[in-house]
Amino acid sequence: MEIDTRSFVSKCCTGSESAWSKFFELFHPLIAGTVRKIVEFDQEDVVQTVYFKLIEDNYRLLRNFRGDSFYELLAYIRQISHNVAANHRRSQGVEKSQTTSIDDFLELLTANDTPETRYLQLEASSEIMAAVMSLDAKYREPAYLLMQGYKHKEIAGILAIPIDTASTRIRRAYQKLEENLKELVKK
Amino acid sequence: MNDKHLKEQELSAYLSGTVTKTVREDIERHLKLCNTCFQNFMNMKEAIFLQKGGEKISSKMKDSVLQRIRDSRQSHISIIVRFLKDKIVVFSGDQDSLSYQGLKATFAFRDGEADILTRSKEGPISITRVIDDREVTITIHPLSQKDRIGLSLIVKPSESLQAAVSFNGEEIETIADISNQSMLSTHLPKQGELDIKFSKQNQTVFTITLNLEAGE
Repeated sequence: MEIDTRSFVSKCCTGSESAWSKFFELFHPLIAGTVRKIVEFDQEDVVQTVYFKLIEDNYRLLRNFRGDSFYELLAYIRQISHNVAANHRRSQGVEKSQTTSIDDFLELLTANDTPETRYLQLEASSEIMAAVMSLDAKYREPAYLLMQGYKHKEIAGILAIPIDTASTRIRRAYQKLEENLKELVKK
Repeated sequence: MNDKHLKEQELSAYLSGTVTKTVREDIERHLKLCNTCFQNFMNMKEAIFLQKGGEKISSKMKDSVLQRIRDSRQSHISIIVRFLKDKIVVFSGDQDSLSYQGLKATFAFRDGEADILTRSKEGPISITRVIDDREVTITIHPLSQKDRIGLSLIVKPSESLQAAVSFNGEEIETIADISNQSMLSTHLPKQGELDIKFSKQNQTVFTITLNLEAGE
């Protein structure tokens, strides 16, 4: 991405409208996409709250950005969007119902990738995360992304692999995880 | 590398393919073992994917956000001062275009534009902005210590305002009455964030942020 990241952030922090127009162009898909993975209702309101958070207190959050690269800025904006959306979800009292049990998680791995399926980010327990981390990278990454609420097609996009490969890896991840997780439950 | 977490900068370089083979292998080894770094790495991958989504902001939301930005300007102004090798560049949030681009040398001269462009003697530069119906002039003074600057503040019409000055989040100085004392006694580095809170009877009247950037 051909922008001078530090300079761009500084200009946004001055309230420059041209810099913010560029910001909308570059980051709106990221903010909206992140929010959609976490909240089911009021998505537009939550996206707007992310922007207001970025502006409030004299752009405090943007001023705290310490990175230099565009990728770092992407990760930073994503994290802010995630935090705002997660706070909103908590304020709606839905956090508990989203917490995934081991069985739920295994079910998720075998679920069909249909539009009816609710793909929202899940709060994974440390046991699930440990089990996911125990997988080889090629299975760990799709399993982790599934936890983040992505569909098979999106996982394929993120990992730059064909959708069939993504689905196969998810099925294999399930087979490996099932054994590991059931073992953990027994303990 | 396994003893500490990977920096985002390292992950960013890894993702953009700008690391050496050895570094790449080190990073991949670390990602296999470190839960935190793996999640940071995946977050970055997700962010890159989502950013390419192409969704456009609605004009209603855009207007609403821009209005919030305009509203915030009524009692606050942000200014960036970038010290470059051959010029000083100033950006101000209430004026979208560059105000002072083209000033020459470490500091420009003030007595006439021709002088500014042809002489490189050091001299103060002043930035004047209107905020909350007051005219605020910030003057940056060169010092014999080249990596430091002095700063003075003038508010018109003159009134008794307190100015609390913080640098990089730490309070460094308070001027009890700006109408009696305009010069900060602290000499500031050319790189950092300066926040000045003007208040009257313990009520904040307006604030100014000056981002000082030492460039190439």
